[in-house]
Amino acid sequence: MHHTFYRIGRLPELIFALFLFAIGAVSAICGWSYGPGRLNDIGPGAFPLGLGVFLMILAALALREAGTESALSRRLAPACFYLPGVILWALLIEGAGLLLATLALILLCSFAEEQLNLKRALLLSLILTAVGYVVFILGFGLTFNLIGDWF
Amino acid sequence: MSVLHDLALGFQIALTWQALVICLGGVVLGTFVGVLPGIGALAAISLCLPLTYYMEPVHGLILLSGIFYGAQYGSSTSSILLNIPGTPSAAATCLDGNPMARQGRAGQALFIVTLSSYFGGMVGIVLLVAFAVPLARFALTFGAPEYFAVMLLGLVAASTASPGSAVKGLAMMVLGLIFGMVGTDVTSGAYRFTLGQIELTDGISLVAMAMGLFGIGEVLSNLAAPDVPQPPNRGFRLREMLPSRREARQSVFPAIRGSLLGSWIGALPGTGPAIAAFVAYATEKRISATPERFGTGAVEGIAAPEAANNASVQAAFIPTLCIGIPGDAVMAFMLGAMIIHGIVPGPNLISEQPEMFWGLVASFSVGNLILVLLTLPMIGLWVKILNVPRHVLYPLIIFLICVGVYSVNSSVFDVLVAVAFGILGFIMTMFRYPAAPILLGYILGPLVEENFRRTLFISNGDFGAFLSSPVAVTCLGLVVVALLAPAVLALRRRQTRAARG
Repeated sequence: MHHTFYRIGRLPELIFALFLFAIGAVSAICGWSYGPGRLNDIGPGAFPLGLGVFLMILAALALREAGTESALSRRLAPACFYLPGVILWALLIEGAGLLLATLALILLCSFAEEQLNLKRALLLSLILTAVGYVVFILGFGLTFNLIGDWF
Repeated sequence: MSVLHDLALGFQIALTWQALVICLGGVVLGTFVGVLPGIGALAAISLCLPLTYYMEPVHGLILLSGIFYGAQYGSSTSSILLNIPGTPSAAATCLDGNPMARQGRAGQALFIVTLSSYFGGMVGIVLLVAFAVPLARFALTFGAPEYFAVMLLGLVAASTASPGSAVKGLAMMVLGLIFGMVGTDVTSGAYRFTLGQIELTDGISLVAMAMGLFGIGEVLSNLAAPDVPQPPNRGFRLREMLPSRREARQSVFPAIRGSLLGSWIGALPGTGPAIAAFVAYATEKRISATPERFGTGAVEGIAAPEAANNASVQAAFIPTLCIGIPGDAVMAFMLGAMIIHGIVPGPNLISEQPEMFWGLVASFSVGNLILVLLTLPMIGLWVKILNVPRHVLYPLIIFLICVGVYSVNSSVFDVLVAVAFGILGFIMTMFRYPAAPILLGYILGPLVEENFRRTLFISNGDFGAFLSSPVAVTCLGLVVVALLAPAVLALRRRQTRAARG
């Protein structure tokens, strides 16, 4: 079910170029508010202002280039499992500990496969937790817990 | 004779057992990520940066640079066997390497590539040794305007010279410069773009950004792309790989020419191993008596680009270590790593910390030798790495990224920053925006701004100060050329198209 390839057309690229334009505008406005300073005493806002204007110009030029190259076909499903996996790991690492955080991450990553193999995913997450424990906690003396404070 | 004395000092450091083990680890890891298509040296280097916090600074740099040049050795393997470059620098090697593999000469191709790589790497190191001290002495005369001009040239050249659209490269470079402004302004102490987050007052974390863009982003792009075919698994015993006498003879001069071209190109700002390899390939094809053989498995077509890309990665250290100005994203990352370790890169590095500089240079020659000894007999093993299933490989990499980013500051916020940059990197590759200029801009941004402000402060607001020395004038002139060249080329293309009808 995850096999679907989506053709990445012109519209999303236009939206991305507009997003860059917006970042440039925000940077320029912030730069103005930080104070551009004077020529012999450049303020903290001068670079954000100037760079923001440059980025707006370049984004406008990139808008014209959108869709001129052949469109790619890409699977989007894996990203929808990997990214939440990393976010979940970050939210769990301090409270729940390395073991549960890694388990959650690897399980979510495994959902990105065409066929979910639960046994294999569990085994992989146990191995990675063990490796992580030995290398990072015992080896480098990093301060994370195998089992977090929630328990 | 002082060079010999300095080199002896370097080898004393590079041949200690810690340095040897770290160098071996770096080049093995580099070869590993080089062999795997889609995972590049930058991902591995950013993954290992937190580990270097526990090492001596010189050992940390030996590890990180080992990954960088090790990846150049590994990257030709998948170019030859799969017609997919392991890193962009080996793209030129596909052109003749893969036809050789399809004719059943994969072993010979890998053998020639490894030896040319070694030769190129050594030529690059010799040039580094020869030019380091004079160049550093010259750079001592640089003031703020010269630094500003050279950095600007590096930024503009790196973003316009990369393959693909110059506009997109420049946009990413400017975006990187803006990311570099995040945090506390050094000169005035004002907070910029911190979004009210206390974590951002020190700026965006280098590790989080690099791992997001080059780790998470590349993993997602690989998962999104069509599957990679499986490589052949036979014919990689050392005896079967020996090239014929004719093949060996054909590859000698291309390797020499490639090394010289590559080390020259590598030392220029804004160019990298990929450009060096393509220029070397094009040169061989142009001067060949039989250019029609290129693309059908010509030995010259793999020896020259591989010698060139390895020479260029060693020569790329020249501006970074002697002037303190990196020429590409990997070197920018090395500069960032040095700053984190409290080392001030610049013309004073060699005289103030000779053991650091010469130890690193000596480790390059050790590392290149290890790579030859490691690659040739064990090529079958490296080929097997291409068979590692992706449902194991990618979760493993993602796990290492999570632990690596989190461990730097025990910061959940940094992991979420890495996710944000991962999304950005993934989207960018879909629309063919290059990611490397962002990193270069991010690291050079604060330095560019500081030198710009200092120049105008000293000159009391007079812009003429930027044109006060030949170095600055030359660099700014080249910036204008680099900016106008793509526009002129596009205009001419449009005219020829219009003329055709």
